[in-house]
Amino acid sequence: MIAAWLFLYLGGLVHALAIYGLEFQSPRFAIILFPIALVPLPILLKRHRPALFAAVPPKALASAGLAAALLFLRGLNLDYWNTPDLMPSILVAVMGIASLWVALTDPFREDGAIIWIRIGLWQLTGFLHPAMPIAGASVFAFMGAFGLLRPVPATTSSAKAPDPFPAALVLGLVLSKPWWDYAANPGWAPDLAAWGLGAALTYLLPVRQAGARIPMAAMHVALAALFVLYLPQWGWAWGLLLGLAWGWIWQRLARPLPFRRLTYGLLLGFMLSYALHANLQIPFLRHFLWLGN
Amino acid sequence: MRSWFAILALGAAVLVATGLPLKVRLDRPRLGVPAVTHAQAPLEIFLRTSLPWAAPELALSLEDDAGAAFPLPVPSRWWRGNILCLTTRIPGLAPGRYALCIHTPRQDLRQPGAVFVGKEWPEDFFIVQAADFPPPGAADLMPQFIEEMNLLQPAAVLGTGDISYDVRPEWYAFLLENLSQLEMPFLAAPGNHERKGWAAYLRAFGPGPQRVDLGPLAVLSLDSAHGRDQFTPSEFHWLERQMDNLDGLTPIIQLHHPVMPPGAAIHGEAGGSGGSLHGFREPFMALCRTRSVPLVLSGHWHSDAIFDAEGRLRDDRADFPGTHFAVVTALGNEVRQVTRWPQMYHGYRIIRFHGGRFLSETYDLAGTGRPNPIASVPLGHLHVRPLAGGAVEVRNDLNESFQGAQVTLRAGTPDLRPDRGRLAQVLAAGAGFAYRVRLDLPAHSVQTVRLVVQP
Repeated sequence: MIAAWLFLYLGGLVHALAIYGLEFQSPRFAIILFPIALVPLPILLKRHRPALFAAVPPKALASAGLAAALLFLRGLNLDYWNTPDLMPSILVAVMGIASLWVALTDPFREDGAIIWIRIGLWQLTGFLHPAMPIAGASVFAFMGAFGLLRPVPATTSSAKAPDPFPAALVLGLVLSKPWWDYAANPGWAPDLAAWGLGAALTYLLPVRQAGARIPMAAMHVALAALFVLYLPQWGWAWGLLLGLAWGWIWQRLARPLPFRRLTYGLLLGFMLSYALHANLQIPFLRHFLWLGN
Repeated sequence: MRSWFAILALGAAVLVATGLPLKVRLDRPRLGVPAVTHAQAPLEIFLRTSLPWAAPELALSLEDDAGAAFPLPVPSRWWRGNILCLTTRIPGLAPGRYALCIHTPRQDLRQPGAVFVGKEWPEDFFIVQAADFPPPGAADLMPQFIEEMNLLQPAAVLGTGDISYDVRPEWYAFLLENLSQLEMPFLAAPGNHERKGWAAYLRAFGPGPQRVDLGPLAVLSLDSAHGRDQFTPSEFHWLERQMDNLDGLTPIIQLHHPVMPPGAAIHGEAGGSGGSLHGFREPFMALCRTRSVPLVLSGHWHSDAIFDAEGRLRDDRADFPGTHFAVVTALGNEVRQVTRWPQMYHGYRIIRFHGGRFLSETYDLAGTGRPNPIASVPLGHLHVRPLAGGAVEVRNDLNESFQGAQVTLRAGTPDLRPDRGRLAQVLAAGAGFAYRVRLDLPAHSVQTVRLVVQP
């Protein structure tokens, strides 16, 4: 469930805002960012005021999130998202709060390989509309709240748990490359679907065992290499390799999953990635941003 | 198994709930990405549907300027998710501009300026390029530009970015209303200003990059405004693929950002401008060189400039070999001086071709009888003024002559003839008739055209 929040909601939102633009001059932009700013609140509530946290009925919240997702997608179907519009901003905020809250209700929950296949499939629906993955997070929250997703025992690696913040940051830097590359065109969707498939493959026993033997430093080198070696014509293979690397890292993370550090690491990675790719004139560095540039 | 069924059922329910009732969106051909074709030629129409692999009952037709509709059969179609491509064939239509109409049980879509049917492509022709269009404070320049284009009748008008400086729907409606009056194809490329209010631009012209074949030309409209001023790998890869599939056509590229920086030719602070393309600049220049691209058109500087493949400002001569990297002044926004080239005025480029080969892109600003190395054509030096009695006065204050200019006169009967020029077409227009008259426009001339009774 946490994976759905991170990679469907948070990733989908950053992607959509990168496509359609975030109007910082408009005060309404704060509404869109509200769920992200709110991330520490339910964590603190749960820790210090568990009764208050438990008082929020997840089923009602998840239903509201699903309804918001339906309205949001219905408004955007065959259209483009004008981000300063008030109603879509509110709907996105409701979707975010719902999926965040439901994800936090059960932080020990593991979803196994299947979550990555499902996330990959939702990324693939981005071919229909780039906002589809955001709605996917609400569908996950709804199903989780109503017990329609069967929890899977945690599959952890024998390797030492890495610091989640830099790991998520590096992934955010790399994962967003197809988004910046394709912008409003949907060619990124198969690459991200391959990424989900790659992460799912790491749950196969021989692949998992092989991954456990790779030092974390080598993982970071692999991610850095994938940052440089992105070619759109080989995007599916690139996505598959990135998925393998991330699946191995994910299994090494401490349980319960360090939700806040993963969220902020990933978000910072996305933002840094955008800042780097948007300022290509940086001498020397620009050759490492896009291969062949 | 239960959870798989549940997630599939819920996912399908989400899709159906957001996609019903079935609707479509026309992606191309449309204003900005028109189809330029001929009678009996195949025509591909790309639609987006509100549900993947499902479309409402569709009826397609073309509508001419007089409002007559010509149904289009749809013999074949293919799907990719919610992208539906219909392949039809242009019926035996008269040359001219047609709106593409799509009727479904719930929608009546009409896209003016979508399809242009021609006869044989002329040996000599020209296209016009403009960028940095008038902002709201200079709105009156927009109808002036449309009037000049409809008078000169270029084979196409290229809008090289910063077409809109305002994201309000009413401003886009004003722009589209004006652009839909163009009697020739309009090909759009986005600029950096369109990134603010990107949804409005995408609604009006769709995403890039796009290719439109214009007779012997393949015009490639690129989006150079990713992260403000760059191509991306997938876009550059698309460009390479297009270059591999030119089928003998001459490639002409338009992108908003100048490829070359001002370099040693920069003037002072360059008016706060002077930015150029960053992402994939060197590979792009190499591609232009190896594929013999004759002309790359840009805007962004609000200032005229032309560079050669070595990045030198060519204010010495207009006919140098290799790729011409041309920058056009602003059509309507503030003008600036970016390079040592001192002339500042609103204008557009006229680009001439002979037999599909690029000839020139500059204007005889000094009136010496030969093109100036850098100059574009100043806006506001061509006027069409209606006179009493249905006559029209045409004034050419430019230093160049134009053949085959066109004026439109209105009358109540269809059996008149012009007292000068050649009658090209008579169209029903409301209660009366519109006469399209072709005439030559010598430099610095004033002509009056009247409709008279045939002897």
